[in-house]
Amino acid sequence: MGIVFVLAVIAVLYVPILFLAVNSFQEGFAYYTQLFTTSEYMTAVGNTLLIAAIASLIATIIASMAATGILYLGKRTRAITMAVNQLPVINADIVTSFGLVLLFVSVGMTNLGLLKLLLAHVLIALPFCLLTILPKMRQLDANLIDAALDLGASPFKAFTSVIVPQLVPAMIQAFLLGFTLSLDDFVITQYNNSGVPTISTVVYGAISRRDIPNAFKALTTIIFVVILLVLIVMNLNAARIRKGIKISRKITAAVLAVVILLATGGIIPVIVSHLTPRNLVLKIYNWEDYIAMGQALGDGQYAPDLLAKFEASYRETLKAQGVKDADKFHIEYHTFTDNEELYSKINTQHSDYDLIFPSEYMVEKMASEGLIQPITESRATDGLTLDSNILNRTKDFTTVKDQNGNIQADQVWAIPYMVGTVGIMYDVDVIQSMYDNGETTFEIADFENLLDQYGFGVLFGEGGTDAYSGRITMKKSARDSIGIAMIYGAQRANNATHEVNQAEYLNQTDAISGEYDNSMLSDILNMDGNYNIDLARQILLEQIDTMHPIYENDNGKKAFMNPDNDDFAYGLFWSCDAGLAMNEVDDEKTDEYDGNLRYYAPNGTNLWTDNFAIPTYAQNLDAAYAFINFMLSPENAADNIDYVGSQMVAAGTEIEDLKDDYGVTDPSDPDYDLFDADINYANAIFPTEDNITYSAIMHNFDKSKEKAVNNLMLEIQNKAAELTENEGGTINWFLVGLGIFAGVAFTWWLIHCLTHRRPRKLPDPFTDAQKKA
Amino acid sequence: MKKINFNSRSLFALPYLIYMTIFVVVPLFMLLFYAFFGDGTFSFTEVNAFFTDSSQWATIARSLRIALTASLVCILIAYPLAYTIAKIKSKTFQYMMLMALIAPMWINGLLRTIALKDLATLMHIPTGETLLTLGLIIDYLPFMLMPIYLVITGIPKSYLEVSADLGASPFITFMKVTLPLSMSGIISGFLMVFTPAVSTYYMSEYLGDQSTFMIGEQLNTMFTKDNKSGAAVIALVLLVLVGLSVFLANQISRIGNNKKGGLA
Repeated sequence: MGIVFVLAVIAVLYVPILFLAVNSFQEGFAYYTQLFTTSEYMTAVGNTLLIAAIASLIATIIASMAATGILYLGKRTRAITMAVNQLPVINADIVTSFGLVLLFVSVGMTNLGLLKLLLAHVLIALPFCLLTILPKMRQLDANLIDAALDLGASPFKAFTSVIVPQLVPAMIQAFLLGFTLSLDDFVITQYNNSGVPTISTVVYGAISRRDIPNAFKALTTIIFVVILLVLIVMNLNAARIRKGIKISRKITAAVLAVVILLATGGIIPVIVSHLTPRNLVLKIYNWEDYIAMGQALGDGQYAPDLLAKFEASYRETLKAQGVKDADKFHIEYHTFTDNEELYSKINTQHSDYDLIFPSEYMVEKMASEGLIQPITESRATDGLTLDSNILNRTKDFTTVKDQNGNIQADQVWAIPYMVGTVGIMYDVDVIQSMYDNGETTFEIADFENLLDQYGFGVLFGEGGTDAYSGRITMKKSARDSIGIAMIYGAQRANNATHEVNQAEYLNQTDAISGEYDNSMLSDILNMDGNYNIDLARQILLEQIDTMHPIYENDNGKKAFMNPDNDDFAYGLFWSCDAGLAMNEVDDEKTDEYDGNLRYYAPNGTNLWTDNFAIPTYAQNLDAAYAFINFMLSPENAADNIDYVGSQMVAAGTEIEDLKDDYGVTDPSDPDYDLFDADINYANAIFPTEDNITYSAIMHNFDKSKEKAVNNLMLEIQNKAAELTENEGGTINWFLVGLGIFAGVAFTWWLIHCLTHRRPRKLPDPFTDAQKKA
Repeated sequence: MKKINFNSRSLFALPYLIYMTIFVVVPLFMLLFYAFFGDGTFSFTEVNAFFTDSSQWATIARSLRIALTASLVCILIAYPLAYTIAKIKSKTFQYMMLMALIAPMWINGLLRTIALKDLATLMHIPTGETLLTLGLIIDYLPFMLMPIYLVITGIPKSYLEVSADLGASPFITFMKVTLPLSMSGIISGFLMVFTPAVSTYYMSEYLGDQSTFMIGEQLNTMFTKDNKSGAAVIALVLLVLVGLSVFLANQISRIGNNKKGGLA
């Protein structure tokens, strides 16, 4: 009976793993090939194993030495040492990690890469290693050590030849425990990582946009098989010992050999990549899943692999220049999930990436702190024509000026890579079904009229949209939610009747200058001039009460993409996410766009850009320039836009063809309808000219405004959580009941123990016998 | 040959002591420093900002509730589990079972969390407090299991024999001998689960929803937005919470009058 329970628990623990394992065979062994052929993944696996192995080895050695030493410490010192040892064991991971970050930052030990992760991972393993070894150490006969010392052995010799051999089983246990904890860790790695990709950081990057990388599903299956093998070997081994056949050592050796082989298989590419001369490596740090690099698209289709294409063409360039080992040129491609992560890699850790992709405000911040160097525009865009409309809109933050404020010709801080808007994505199926169920009075066309009339106002209940209360999403990203709240707040403040008309808003005149221009929108969005953050606070707090929005990072996009999920009617989205989601729900086989998602960016919105920039610490400028040029060529850009689902500044016939394919239509065309499925889809990927003109860029904030913005977002999230919680719907009373039951049972048992008479101390026959002896 | 005195043997502990001082003790003081001197001068600004927001207290209470539920359910599952495994006759089979229960940790925690979420999505289980609690239980069960198992296997057989000889039924023996003696294991296990659960951030981000905003998520947001002093205040609050739970656990353990094993 008992064993059934044990097996059941084991089964539950393995369900998520088996789920991944089953998924890993979706396309035969394609994911497995992907795992072993993608250098980013192999490097991550290699790093993870390397760190786990070395860190737990170091921890085991330090701990076994310490176990010897601690027994000879004074009683008081020993007690303190043991208490300190407990700290990392019971302290929260996140607190330990944060403390480590503060330590590394304050002593300036920032760009240590792998070494820093090693030091941090020793901390994960060390206390547990000591706890494993110390009890075994206590059982050792102290006389043996004394005897060795009396016979003239040095303390070191006594340690290695008397203590270590007896501790070996405990040391192996300690090593395995440390290794396991290190493999499992995410928090400490994430906090102390300076550009060293590991399994957890790569997964973290990937899920922010789509899903677990398919290759890691394959990896999970492989680890699962290894676990099975270990269990089988344990069993066989035991059976053989029972039969008296002593070949256990051979089997253990064989298993160890396999494990070591697997580990080195991952580690060797890492070591090799550290040895390649820097002019043969281009280190790129981009947003996760933000470039076409041969991703599987399902149905056996793959995105074009632009990285491989560049590698091949640049090798030829190098060969033509007569560079030695030109064939070894390769790209090291790492990813990040937000601008702050990028910033800390470059600022505090001085990672030597050659090309990075900061957003507009981050370009400003990094330029002002000397973290990026000017790009010579003519060199980067040699032989290319670019979309001047977009380029002009980005001049505010790309222009390079000298100390006297003179504009430097042909020098830019950054060149736009992807461009898009912030707008509203809505699910026509949900909106229709809510109308059918009588929850709202808006059919699709009615809702689209509301969008047209109120713009972002629909997120705040304008025009009766509070009927969608609880079915809308907002962004956890502070800059976006607050920026949009500012835009809506200003619209409302500028119109006494509360009935905000989008067209009227665009004709609003600025109180000071007397005419409408983007500078007013810019003031609003950046909380400058007449506008400040209190407006956004008021709007967002009201919104929580009336609209019950769900704040999300990427869960929202996934919910919208999932056809079975009808939670949300509409929400605040970046056009790149909308483009990706719409692409996902579209049936590729038909020419028409037939997905259930639409995207609408009101005029007067936030224009975002992610840009090519070259860090000051870059080491391979030639390759960085060549790569920018390569990506902006119309042919490659068209492939890339098609995969990423977002507009680039590239221009040319291939781009025009792509626009035609998507159905981009000129607004002067008699058939032009913003809400026509095809045109709508095209506009999500290629922002309309109006969108680009009637938009403002969000700039970098000074320290106090930045802090105010982030604190407001936390305040909003706290409030929103409290409200949702108080509605009671989400509290699981079953679990709370179970918890209370457990608590009561526990207390009852305590009382039981206290009130029932039992011997204060139970006799221990063994210690008593020893005492007598 | 001169006999070496005890002190030189304690030198073996030196690398360990140096490492722990630099990487455990010093960071704690750095946290204190940042919480109060974040802007260069001594101030209570961040501390005040934290404690005057009423929603903040709701967030702490919520984190405590979720973590408590998860750890208590963990005890309810892990204790019978550890007990059953400890009673298995073959030592090899015991190790195999333990191995099978711990080995999922070779697959990174984040990866397993996302796998659970994807599975839940497939089965139409919404994210939220239930899924989050379930995720915490599945992820931290080994941490509860190991200390309890170690303590149960450490109970001398003779105790149980004595109890049986004195006429106690197996149930009474369990209630009066085994369970009280395994208290320290339960308490260490509780601490090992409660602390990571109360401070989790990626689990609540992926398995939870809007209503499960936890204090760890808040620390993480402040950290990623480079608000070090704000994050330090929350880290200190977490330290105090953990410290309190250790203190309470030790009190309970003292009442239980058992000093064998355990981590607390």
